[in-house]
Amino acid sequence: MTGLFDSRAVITGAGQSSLGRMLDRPGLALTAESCLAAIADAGLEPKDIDGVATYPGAGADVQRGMAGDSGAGDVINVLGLRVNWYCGTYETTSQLGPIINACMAVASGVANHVVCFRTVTEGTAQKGRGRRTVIPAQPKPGQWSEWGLPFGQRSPSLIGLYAQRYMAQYGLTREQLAQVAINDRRNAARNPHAVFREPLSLSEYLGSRMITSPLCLYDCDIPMDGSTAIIVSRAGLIKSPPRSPLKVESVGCATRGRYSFYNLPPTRTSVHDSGAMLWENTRITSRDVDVAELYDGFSILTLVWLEALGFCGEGETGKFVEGGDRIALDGELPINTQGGQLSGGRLHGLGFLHEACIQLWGEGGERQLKKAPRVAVATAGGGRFSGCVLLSRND
Amino acid sequence: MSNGRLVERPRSMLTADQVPRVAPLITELTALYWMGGSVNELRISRCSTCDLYVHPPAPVCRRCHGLQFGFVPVSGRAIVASFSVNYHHWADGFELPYVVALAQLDEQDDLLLVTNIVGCGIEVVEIGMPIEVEFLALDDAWLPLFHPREVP
Repeated sequence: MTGLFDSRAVITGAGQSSLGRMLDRPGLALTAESCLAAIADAGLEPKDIDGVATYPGAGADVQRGMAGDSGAGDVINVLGLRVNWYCGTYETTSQLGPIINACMAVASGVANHVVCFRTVTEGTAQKGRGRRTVIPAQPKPGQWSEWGLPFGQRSPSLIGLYAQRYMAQYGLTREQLAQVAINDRRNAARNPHAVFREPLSLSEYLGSRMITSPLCLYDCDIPMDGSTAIIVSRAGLIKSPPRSPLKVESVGCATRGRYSFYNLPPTRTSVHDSGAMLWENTRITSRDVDVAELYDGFSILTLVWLEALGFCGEGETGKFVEGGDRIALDGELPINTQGGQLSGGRLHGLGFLHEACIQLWGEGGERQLKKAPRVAVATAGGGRFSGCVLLSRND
Repeated sequence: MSNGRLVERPRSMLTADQVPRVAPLITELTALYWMGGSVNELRISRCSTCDLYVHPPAPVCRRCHGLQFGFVPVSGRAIVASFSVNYHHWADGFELPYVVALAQLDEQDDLLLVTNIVGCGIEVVEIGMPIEVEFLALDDAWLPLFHPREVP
């Protein structure tokens, strides 16, 4: 079995813009920076790019800071690209949707080299005043917020509902859940671009401000500004590539239910469906994975990804992360080596895939895994939509 | 954040921190749900073909693909499927902390309403707790809220 895309889809380069809490620069400027960096990283020139893919696409400032100024068309225009295929859309298979689409485009022959990007300017948009200052007061019909806003329910409470039930159902404790945040912070100390790098202790976590039970301050990610770009190419096109092309072995994606978080434990969510799909078209199993970059918009999501990907049984995530040793940089399954979104900052989508590539290429600096990883999983999303990617290094 | 000119802006331009409590959207599809409280009834959309309760209301039944629905009054009794106590100041119209919950209606296992648990301290709320509906008027709508119910 050669994998989902017949070994044709590879990641050949990656790049990021400046990253920071409040850069006060237009999203499109950050986007141009990351795309040009990724193109150069792949040993390509802008004239080699014939495809562009992005989430959430032009005009999609559902809440400010989502960089609606950086649609596929905008990037094609300002970088002077000559592109045949492109897609930029809010409704796609998680923030990794552009990657999945790009893999299909290159594997089928519709494109040769696709630049995929995700840009956020949430740090600047919120200006330290909090997310409530950027969420529209009036929901559009058909959005899930229509049903929650009148009751003061925002996304954190939605996920709090899920976490509360998970704890009741499986006996997960706050001390166990804390390991996601503590591990993230420990790794962020070795990441010069991370937002928060001071160590986080268990007592600090337990004593911190509760946002919406059982999620406290440290269970919620940090808004920031930054752009991440990944080059997806058809295998074999670049002669003497500067980077070892990373094979996209498989992907998983799913949507379940209109308002997926209302699938409470023990019901499966879209994350479980995505995770199962990942293993369907590859000989690689969860036991072969060297490093897992698991979406942590909220800490509980990382635990759901752990069980959904089969790293442990359903409901066993508390024991899996207990004490933090197993998931540390020198542990059996290192997780979120860049500090995740909880400490690294909310790049909202491609940050995890970027870090997976960095680790496979041995570019992790102080946080580089000593064991020279060969297989990595990266995920995004965790509610109504979710997606995951399995990468391997083959040289 | 207060500015005399804010009250002149259309609602669609405001952000969530500028509105005390967001009133529900009354649309053709949802009106009968939000208005039931005016006669003290919790009304849920029900497929006329296969009797599935469908909430939120939809134009098509997800089970039988029927296109006809009626809004029928239900008992108003439910249990707490899950809850989260919110401590964060999202908007001015809520006294902190408050309980966001999913009420699982007695009539159907997957019939879940987003709501608030009221009429009790936050410390008594637990998963599986029996609750029943009451209504809070807000603009043109009646919000279904739930309070603890004594079970014999």
